[in-house]
Amino acid sequence: MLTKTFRAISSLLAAALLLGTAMPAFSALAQQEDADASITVPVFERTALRTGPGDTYAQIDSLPAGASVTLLERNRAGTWLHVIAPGAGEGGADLNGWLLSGYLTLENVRFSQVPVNDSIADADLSAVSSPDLASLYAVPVVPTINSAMREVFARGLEAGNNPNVIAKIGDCNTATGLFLAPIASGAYDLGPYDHFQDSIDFFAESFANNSEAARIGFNAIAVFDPLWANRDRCLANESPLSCEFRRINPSVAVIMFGQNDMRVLNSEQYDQYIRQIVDTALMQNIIPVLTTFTSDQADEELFPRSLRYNLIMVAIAREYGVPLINFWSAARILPRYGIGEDNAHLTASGTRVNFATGHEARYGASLHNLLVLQALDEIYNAIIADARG
Amino acid sequence: MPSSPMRADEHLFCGICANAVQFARDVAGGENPVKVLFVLLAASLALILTGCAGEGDPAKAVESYLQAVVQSDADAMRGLTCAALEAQVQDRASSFAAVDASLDGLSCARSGADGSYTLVTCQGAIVIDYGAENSRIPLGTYRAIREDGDWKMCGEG
Repeated sequence: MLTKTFRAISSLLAAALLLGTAMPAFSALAQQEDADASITVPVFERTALRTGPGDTYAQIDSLPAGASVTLLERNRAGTWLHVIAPGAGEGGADLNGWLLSGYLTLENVRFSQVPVNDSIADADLSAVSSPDLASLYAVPVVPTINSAMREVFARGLEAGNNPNVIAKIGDCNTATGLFLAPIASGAYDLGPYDHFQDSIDFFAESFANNSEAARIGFNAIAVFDPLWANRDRCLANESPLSCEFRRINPSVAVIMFGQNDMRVLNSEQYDQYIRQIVDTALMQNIIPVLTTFTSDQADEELFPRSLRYNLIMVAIAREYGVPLINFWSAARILPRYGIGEDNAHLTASGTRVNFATGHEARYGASLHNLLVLQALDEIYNAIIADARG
Repeated sequence: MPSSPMRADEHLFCGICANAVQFARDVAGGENPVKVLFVLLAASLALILTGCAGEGDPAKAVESYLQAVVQSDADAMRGLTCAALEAQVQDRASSFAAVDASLDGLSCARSGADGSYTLVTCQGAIVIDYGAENSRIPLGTYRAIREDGDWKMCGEG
C-alpha cells in the first residue's frame, strides 16, 4: 500500500517536474508564434515617426519610402500605428514610435487583429502653448458611448425610431454626396478598417438618404427655418430638422456645423442653436453625435474664431453627455488641415470611400467619413451588437 | 355709415384702395353707379400711376419679402414681416448671409384664405450658390396678413 502511494506521489512529482521543465519551452514556442504573427509592412511615402499618436507629439525621426516597420498597436481611430522600425535609427538602432497609418502599405493588415492602445492620449498637451488649442486637443478624437446614450437609444426604439437609420445634419460638408453616401451603393474599400463591416452593414442603407437637414450654405440657424425646407417633402411651417426627423425616424443624428456659422453667426447664436439641435434630437430620443469642424491654421482671421466655435461645441457635448467626434484635432495632420482654399469645403479625392490607399491621411472628406464610421461603430458595439447576440 | 368688414375680394387692394368704394361714393356725392364707377376708374388709374398697386397686393408683398430674404436684407424683411414673426427676422437674415442666394422663376399669386390670413402660392425656387455648388429650394405657399394697411408675410401656408 505504502509502495503504491509512494509510486503515485512520485508519478505526480515527475509529471509536475516534467511540466515545469516543459513550460519555458511552451512559453518560448508561444513567443515564437507571436513573433511570427507580428506584421511587418513597408512605408510607401516618407513620414514622421513621433512619440505618440498625434501631431503634438515630438518627432523622433522620419522614415523614408521603402522602410519596413513592425506593427505593435494602433490608436482607437486606426489613424496612427505604434511601430518598430528595425535598424532605422542611428548606428542601426531600432526606432520605436508612432506614425500615420495612411503612409503605410497595409494591403494584408486587418485592424481587427491589431491591438488598440486606449491609454495613450490623442495629443501631448505639454507641447501646446495656447490654452484654447490645449482645450481642443484634450478632447479625444473618438467618442465613447455612455449609459445615458444607451437609454436614449432604447427609448427611441420604444417610440418607433428606426434602429439602423442615421440622420445627416449639417452644411455642404455633410450634404455632399461624398459623405457616407457612396458606402450605401457599395462604392467603398475599407482597406485595413475591416472592423467597421458589421456596423456598416447595419447602418449603410440610411447613408444614401438625401437629408433635408443638410444643405450647402446651411448653418445652425437655417436648420430651424421653414423657408429652407423643401416644400415638396416637408410640411407647412416645418423646419428642415423636424422634417428630416419626421421623414426617417432616425436613432442617431450626425451633426457638424461651423464653417458657415463662424462667418455669419455670433458665438451666442451658435451656442443657442447647437443646443437647440441637441435638445430637439434628445426630445425625440435620437442620439446626437456632434462633430468639431476643421479649419485652416494659416487663416489669421477665421482660425481663432474656429477655435471658439469648436470649444462651444465641445462644451455642449460635455454638458449634455453626448458623443463628440474631434475631427478638428484629427485633421491637424492633413495637408491644409483637410480644408480647401475657400476654407469651407473639405478636400477630397474621387467619389469612392477609399481607406485602402491612405486617403484618410490626406483628405478632409475621407477623414470625416472615417471618424463618423468609427463613431457609428462605437455606437453599434456599445448598444446594438450585444442586443443582436 | 358704419364701416363694414373687408370682403375677401377687397383684399386685392392696398390700404387706400380698400376704402375706394366708400371714397368713390363720397366723391360722387351719392349712389349714382355711373359716377361711382367713373371715380373708381380714375382713382385706380391714379393709384397705378403712383405705383401703389404692388404694395396692395399680398402676392407682391410676398415676392418683395422673398427678394429681401435672398439679399439677406434684414431691414427690408422687417418692413414686410408681420408683427408675430418680427423676432425671427434677424435669424432668417443670418441664415441666408453665408450664401449667394437668388430667386429663379419667382411668380406668386393669391391662392386662398386661412382664417384671417390670405394664402399666397409662389412658383419658382430659391437658388443657393456656394462656391462651385448650388442647390434649389422650391417655393411653396405662404401666409400674408394686412397690418397697418400693408400686406406682410406671416409664415408658411
